[in-house]
Amino acid sequence: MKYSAFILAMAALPAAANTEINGMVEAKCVIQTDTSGVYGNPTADKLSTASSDGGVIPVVRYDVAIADYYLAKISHPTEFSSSPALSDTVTWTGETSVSQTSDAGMSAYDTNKVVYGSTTEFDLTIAGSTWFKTTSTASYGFGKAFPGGNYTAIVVAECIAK
Amino acid sequence: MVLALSLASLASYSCSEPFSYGVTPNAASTGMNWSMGAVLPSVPGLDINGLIYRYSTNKITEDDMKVTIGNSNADGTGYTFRETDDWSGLPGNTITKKFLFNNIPSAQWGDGSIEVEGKGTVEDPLVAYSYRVDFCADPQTDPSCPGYIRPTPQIPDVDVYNALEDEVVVAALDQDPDFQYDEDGNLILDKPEEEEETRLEMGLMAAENAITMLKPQGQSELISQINMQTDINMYYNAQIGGGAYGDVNILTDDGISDNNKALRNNLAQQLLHEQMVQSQYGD
Repeated sequence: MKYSAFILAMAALPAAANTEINGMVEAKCVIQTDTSGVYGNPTADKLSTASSDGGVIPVVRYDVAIADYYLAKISHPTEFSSSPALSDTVTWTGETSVSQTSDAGMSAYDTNKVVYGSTTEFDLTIAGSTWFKTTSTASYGFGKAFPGGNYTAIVVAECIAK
Repeated sequence: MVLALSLASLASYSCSEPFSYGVTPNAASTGMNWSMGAVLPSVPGLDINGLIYRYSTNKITEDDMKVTIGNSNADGTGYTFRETDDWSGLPGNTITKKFLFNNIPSAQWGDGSIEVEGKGTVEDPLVAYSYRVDFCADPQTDPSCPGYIRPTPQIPDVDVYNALEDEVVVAALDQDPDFQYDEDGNLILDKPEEEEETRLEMGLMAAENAITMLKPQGQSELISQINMQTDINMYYNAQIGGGAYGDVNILTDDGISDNNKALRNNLAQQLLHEQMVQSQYGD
């Protein structure tokens, strides 16, 4: 009986099907850490990534598959992500520039970059790889020594579609 | 057990991939021109599958400058690889480029160079080639290579002496009288010509035979006399070399000394004898 009722129900319903459409969009802009940065401590009140200060400048690489679709947005640190307890203010300075390119035309990125606050923006108008280096300097208080400990800061690199 | 199987699989894989890969040192470390023979390893079966270069330009932004990196063809016609970076109107910077090739044999690569056109200089150039070596380019290098042919030992050439080709032998054979063969190929030997016995000879033979039969003893003695004559003549005619043989051994000792050991032995025998004699008077 139940079987007959089921048949009737099936006949009464209209035919319907849901078909999925899948699509895969591969990343056209990939960011890789090329070199991890290290702070040097040339004076008691200063941490610096400059090689002359005993540091290592961090480098990130942008691999762009299509031209003129993305912006590279890189911010140098303005605070420590981890550090000993600090009782005084830290003054931050930094700069981001093109380190290497895979195309000579990319060297114009430096000329056309836009800087606001701690952020530097590059218009990625050429497909290929571009290496960006970011310097960072932290000065503690007014000639005050940094407390002993481990200090970590982060460079934020973003790839934003235009 | 699983580990063993895994190792066996690895061995099989390495056998089926007779390639090794590597990267050359900086070809531009000594200048803007380089020879591939000095850069690439000198091994057979080597082909290039990639190239990476990096250099920095020092220039004024407004100046025109082109930098070309390339390798000419080995035969001098055209280029195996050539890339130009146009820095005109651009600030100087560091450029890094890499290229992949479909395993171009090293024999096709000619000398490499970095050429600068316009104003500006190239600093810290780096040009490195990645390569692949096929160890089975010559299949005879390894028995596991496809097409390997087991080498056969070289057999030394031995000159076989054929007497029939020896001129001397042939010449000697030509001197032999012609042989005659019968229908079956058998050599026909010459039979000594048998003299046909005439009736006269037959008669004489019969007469001799008759005499012989009548005097058998006389004939035997005659033969014996002949033989004796022959044998004796041999000895008569023989000469034996002779001469005098003088004595050569001379005894220089004027006397022979007594043997002390024998004396002792004699004394011991004598002593024993006396003991035996005296023993019968004892007790």
